[in-house]
Amino acid sequence: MQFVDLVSNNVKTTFIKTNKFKTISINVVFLGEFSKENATRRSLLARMLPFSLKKYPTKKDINNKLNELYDMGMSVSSYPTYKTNMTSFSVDYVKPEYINTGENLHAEAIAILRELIFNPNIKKGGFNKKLFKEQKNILKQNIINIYNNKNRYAIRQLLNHMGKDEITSVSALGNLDDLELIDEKNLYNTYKDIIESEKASIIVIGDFDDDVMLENLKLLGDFKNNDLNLEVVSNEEKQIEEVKELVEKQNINQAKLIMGFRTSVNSIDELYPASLVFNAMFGGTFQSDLIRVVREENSLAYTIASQAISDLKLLIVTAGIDSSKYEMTKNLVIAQLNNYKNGELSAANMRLAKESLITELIEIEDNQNAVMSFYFKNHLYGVAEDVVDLIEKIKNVSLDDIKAVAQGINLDTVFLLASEDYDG
Amino acid sequence: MVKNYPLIKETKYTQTLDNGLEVIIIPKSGYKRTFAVFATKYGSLVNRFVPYGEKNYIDVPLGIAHFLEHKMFEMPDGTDATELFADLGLDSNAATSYNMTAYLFSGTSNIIKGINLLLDFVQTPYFTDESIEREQGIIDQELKMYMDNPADNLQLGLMENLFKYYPLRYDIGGTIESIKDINKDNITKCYNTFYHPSNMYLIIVGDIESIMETKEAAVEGLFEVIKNNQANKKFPKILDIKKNILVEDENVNKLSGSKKMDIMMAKTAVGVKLPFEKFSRNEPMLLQLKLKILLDATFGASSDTFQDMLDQNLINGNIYTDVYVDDLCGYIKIHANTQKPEKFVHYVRKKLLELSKSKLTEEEFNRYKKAVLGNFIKSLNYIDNIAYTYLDNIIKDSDVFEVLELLQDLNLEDMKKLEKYFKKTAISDYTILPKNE
Repeated sequence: MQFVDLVSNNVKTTFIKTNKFKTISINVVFLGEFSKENATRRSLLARMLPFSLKKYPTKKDINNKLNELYDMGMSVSSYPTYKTNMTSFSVDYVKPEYINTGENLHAEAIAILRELIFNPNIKKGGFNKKLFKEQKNILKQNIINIYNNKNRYAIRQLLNHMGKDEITSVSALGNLDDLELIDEKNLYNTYKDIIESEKASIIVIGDFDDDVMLENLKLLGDFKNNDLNLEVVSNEEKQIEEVKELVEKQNINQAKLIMGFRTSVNSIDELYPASLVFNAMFGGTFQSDLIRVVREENSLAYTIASQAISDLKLLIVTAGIDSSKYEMTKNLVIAQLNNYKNGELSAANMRLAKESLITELIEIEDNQNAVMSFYFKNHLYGVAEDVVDLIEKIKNVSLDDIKAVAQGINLDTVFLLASEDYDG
Repeated sequence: MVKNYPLIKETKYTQTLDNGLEVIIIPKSGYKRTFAVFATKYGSLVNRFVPYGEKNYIDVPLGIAHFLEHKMFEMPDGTDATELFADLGLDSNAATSYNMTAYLFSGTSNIIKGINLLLDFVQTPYFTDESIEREQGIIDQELKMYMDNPADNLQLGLMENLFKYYPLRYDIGGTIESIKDINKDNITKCYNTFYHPSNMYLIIVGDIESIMETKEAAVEGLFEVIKNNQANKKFPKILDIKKNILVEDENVNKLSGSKKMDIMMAKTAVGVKLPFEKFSRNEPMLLQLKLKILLDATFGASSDTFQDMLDQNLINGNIYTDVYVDDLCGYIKIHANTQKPEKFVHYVRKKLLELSKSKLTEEEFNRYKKAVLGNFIKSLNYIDNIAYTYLDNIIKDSDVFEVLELLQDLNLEDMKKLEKYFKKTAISDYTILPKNE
């Protein structure tokens, strides 16, 4: 796999060259600010754009076209890292050698991408009213529907309580109050802001001829290379005065215990590799201490896991338990963290955690999207390292580093989604 | 045997060993990860069979295949196979479906050791009463987790409506009651009968030259590794497996049903029961493919139906179509989250019945053929997907790598033959309703 950095269409462009995939993926990413104010608009816009092409105004039109092009993929995605948002316009298609009917799939892909980015179906300064209403309604239902997925609902509730006035509480999916304020006109303004005022870059991955690709990319025209001051990771120091505990009851069989911790390590911290190892040891893998203690030794849960959200300096523990086992499970998790803080650590567990992480990192190269996402985030964070560098750093993590990571972790909020018979 | 598939630029190597084990190797040059699956043609559908070496049929508790899967990982020396894989830096897992139990691992180094471990742990049965009892606690929690999942409840409800006896109507994990009847004796009988190598497949997908650290005869070398492993073990002679799966007529069990859960929006499914048929080679796969094209043309994002359902607020942005065909029968499932479950059901039923007269045009059909081709090529980017779809098809005597050749020959007349499946008595629906409605 070869990484070629160059400038095309006035912006930073990266070609990731590899012939092991049967597809090519072209992506244009815009970076801008992520905030409570724009989160819902960004979410709705990403839903709208793939159906709002002037040249292919109906779903039937665009899907027929994509089917005709051998199931070409076309998407707009939007997701945050701390207070920065990435909006990605993408097309992916099979390598032309797999079809023998003479279509120029490279050119077709660029043509679709150009329509997607630059030519939305706009009338009188706004999106098509009917389509807008339809997608707004769908997003509304999706937000309401988080309730159906108990785990996701419980995590959302935890983050809402834990980081009330922080970016942590802002859902990238959006919220109902803000959604009400959006109309087809102000959504179009959000679109224009992204294209005009954000910072664009291009990534292409697959097996292709550089000159042919550059020639095709020219058809997209120039993008804006605005110099923005983006906050990509949290540097906030939060003091926890008192651990918040919240219980909500629903008619469910299995309770969801969600524990939210603050950490002192963000994605660009020197201890970041150690924080990855910590998480893998603590609750990130099937061999982790939480699985061993909570599931295997005490039969308290079918699932228990920890996940680090490093851009927000958070660590979340989730478990599916019997409501009556709430206190016991919670205390076991806290006790386990205290063991880490006191340096009661197993070198064997650390070795397993490292191996598991290293394997995961090596495997990134087997997935086009994972390669792009890893590469892109590293550049965004300014750590500019490749998989091999990060693996080296992980190998060098010591038990003292793990202890140091653990000492920066403190419980902030506990949320229990309990069954109705819970009387705690 | 070596087989090249020029349309997809892939090669498959297969060998059947003396003990009956079928080994499949699919080289994927440049891939860092290797994916290996050791699978038995035995899943939740089999609950009545003649145990190996016996004469009479026995009935076993629902969910026993899944329970056995959990128990396989426990080794006689008290270790757990998952830990042994982890020691090698390998990820391991297992899954039980309606007609297969699969043990798998993946990783980027120690692959040969991993393959030996995979064969060894699955071929080392070790069941004790105490550990079976402990497992009952864990599976009890697992089943409760599924009971809170609206999608799982929808699937189960629809299957109960479609089938009277065929065991698709039971949850793969069994019930909280049924697993209490699982014991050392019946679990051992299941193992002895269905885990004979002649009832199993081993598939390995990855960069074989890198695994074997040689460019010379790497695939042959890998076959040798597997043969040596098997040659060191004794297996009883190959016997035909007698299993009895209840089949039934083509009418659904119940036309409609619903249940309430603590959710905000209804989830609704309409199902079509596919009748019991005698399939020949590749037919189940092809039937599945043809039905997928037909349903995509009818309900997919490029259909008028899809926009119409959005306009009438019958779906919430998405509608899903699943087609399941095993070696005996199958079902179609059209499902969505909806604010208007009754209207959704009415609408989908009407559309399904209209399929008894094919309206697909040549132009549409050819466009879908292109889409299927592209979609299949794309799916070959993922080695785990290759292994799973290959196994999923081979257990019903179909070779997924031949699908594009078969697709080329497919014509509109073949699609007309699907008309017979869409009749009133073969359709049922099931809805999960929010509890406060």
